[in-house]
Amino acid sequence: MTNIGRISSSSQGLQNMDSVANMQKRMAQLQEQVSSGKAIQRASDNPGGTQSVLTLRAETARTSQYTKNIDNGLLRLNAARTQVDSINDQLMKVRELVIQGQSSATPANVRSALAAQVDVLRSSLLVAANGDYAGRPLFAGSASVASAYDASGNYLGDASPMTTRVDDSGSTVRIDVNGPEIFGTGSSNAFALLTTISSSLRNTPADLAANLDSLDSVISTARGAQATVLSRVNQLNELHEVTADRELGLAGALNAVENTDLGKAVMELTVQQTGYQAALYATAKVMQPSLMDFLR
Amino acid sequence: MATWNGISTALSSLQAQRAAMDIAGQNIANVNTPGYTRQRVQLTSGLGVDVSAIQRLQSGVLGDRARTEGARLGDLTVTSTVLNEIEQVFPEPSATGLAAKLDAFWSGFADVARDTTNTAARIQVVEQANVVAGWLNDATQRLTDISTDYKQNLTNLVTSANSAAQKIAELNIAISQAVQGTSDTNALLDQRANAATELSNAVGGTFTIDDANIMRVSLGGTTLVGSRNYSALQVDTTAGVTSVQWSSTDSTASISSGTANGYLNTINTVIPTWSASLDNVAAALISKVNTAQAAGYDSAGVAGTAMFTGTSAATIAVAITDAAKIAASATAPTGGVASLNGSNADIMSTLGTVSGGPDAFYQDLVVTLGYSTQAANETAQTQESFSSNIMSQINSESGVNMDEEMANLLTYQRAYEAAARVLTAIDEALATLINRTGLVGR
Repeated sequence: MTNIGRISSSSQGLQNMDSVANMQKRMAQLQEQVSSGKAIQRASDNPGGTQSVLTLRAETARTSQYTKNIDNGLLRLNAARTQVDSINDQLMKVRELVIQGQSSATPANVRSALAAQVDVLRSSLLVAANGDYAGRPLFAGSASVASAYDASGNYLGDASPMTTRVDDSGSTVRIDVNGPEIFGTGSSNAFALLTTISSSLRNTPADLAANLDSLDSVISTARGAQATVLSRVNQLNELHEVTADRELGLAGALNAVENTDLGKAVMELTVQQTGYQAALYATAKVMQPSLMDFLR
Repeated sequence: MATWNGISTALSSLQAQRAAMDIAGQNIANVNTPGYTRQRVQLTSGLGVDVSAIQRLQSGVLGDRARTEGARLGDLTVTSTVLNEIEQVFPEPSATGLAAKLDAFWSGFADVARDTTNTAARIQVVEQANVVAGWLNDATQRLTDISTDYKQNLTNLVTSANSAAQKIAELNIAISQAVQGTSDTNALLDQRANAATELSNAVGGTFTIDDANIMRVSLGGTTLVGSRNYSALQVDTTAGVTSVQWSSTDSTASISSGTANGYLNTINTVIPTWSASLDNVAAALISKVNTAQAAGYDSAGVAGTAMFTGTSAATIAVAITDAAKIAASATAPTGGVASLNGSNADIMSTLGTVSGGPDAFYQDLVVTLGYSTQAANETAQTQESFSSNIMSQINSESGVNMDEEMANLLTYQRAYEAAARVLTAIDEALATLINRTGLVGR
């Protein structure tokens, strides 16, 4: 430490104390790392690593929100799918009834009964159209309304889509399908058509052929909606897996930066302890003897 | 050669050896005294032996170096300590730092976006907004507290620097009146050196010792300690900038080293810098969130109002108390019916990633602070080992070595015994002369 030959008693003691204190400091740091399990206690320990940790933590928080978004979207779309499936089934039943009514062999009283069945199906369709999820109508878009359709079959909702964010790039997925997308719009919508069909069955069977064409067009719209919902569910299912992988990846990356490599830290601690003991031993050996021990 | 010379020669040796043993004893007694400089008896031969002086074994050059490096160490230690204190205001990475609070705040918006009718999620966002604003208020207050502490420290330091300067001036007078080369004067010199170290650690300065053994100290060319008097210093904070002034003229003293320089730096530069960085975080948060709020519509379909008031970390406050006021919807109400669309809340949930957003500013602050602290710690550590190197050189030269003193003690003791034997021999010779001679014819 010094290039002057002379050593004073106190400088010898001070030097020993310095090196022992340095070792104690290093040991305390390692012990902190081991006991807390964190490699970075404060930003100055590793500023670059701190940046990574902050970025990764924010990303983890966002990704866990994406997972929740996707799960929520799946639940909502699955609820919509059940309703859309049943809507399609019911529209198919109406189609059968219309074909039955179209036949010239069908007597008027049977047609009237068919018309009554159409009326029942119309109300059941309305119930499906007003299906809800978590207290909100499934098919009313984003409108703050109690139900998507009123009793007369008028759409009360809006055209604003419900979307949910699924990743950092800003991609969003629609997690709804609105009434007009299933039932058609305005006066040609399913409910108006069913009212017409019911009246045709009762009064003007000749119109049924034209009605069937209109119904086919409505059914095709509803089928389209069914396919759309299904494809969105599939998309979200895939995204669910991707996001789960991403979460695992982030947890791994965070672990690598943030947490102590225990094996390495404990090994270093052992090495430091050995050094510390050696320093103490040397101090004890060197500082003890003086000339006084040998003079009488 | 006269007989009597032999007796006085032996006597001078007895006195000299005893003085030397006294000094060895003094050295041994002060083996652990900080700032003690070992002394050595300077013997010269004449008629017998003379104690011509009691030397104080110290190198002036090393003393100057030690003061300069000590002053620099004081400065750098303060800088490193302050940065470590500031770092504790920003405890990152942790669950209690602002980064985690902001993450939770943005996540809250995502919860609202999923279901804008979820009142619990809305209330949670307002709560988180309060947490974030409160955190910023606290942090800026803590920075101010650190600054206040250091102003007090500076005042105390200047007081002790003044008393050290006064002590040096008084010791200058005492030393000029004392007889040089005595153990008493050496003690005064030790005291003055200690006071000089204290003064230099506090405010730095240039130290000179002239041929008449008078120590003079100047700060940036202006005399701090003269041959008989000193100029007092005082702390001034009137112009909004803290400075150290000469009490007599109210002009700013030039301080470029020592603990005082570290304190001044802390108060005038370091704390304001990090406060300003924190204010940037707060300003970005206020502007980004308020802008996003203004773009949306709340639960009732009313255009969003500002969520935060204030302009800085000290003044930021949450303006919204009703959670329904969160402008979650991006769509204007149609026909009086409010939209439950959550896309504005969704946009707000991404404000943590926008460039120029609060998270970016905060991360920058934390990382820059981390690098600054790391660098300051390393510089201070280097300076510490540098200073302790010089101290150990001084100690090697001026410190007491027990073995050496024991050997000296032994030598002087033997010499004393021998001198006593000489006296005995002369005494016996004289006795022979007086008692045994001149008996012829008696």
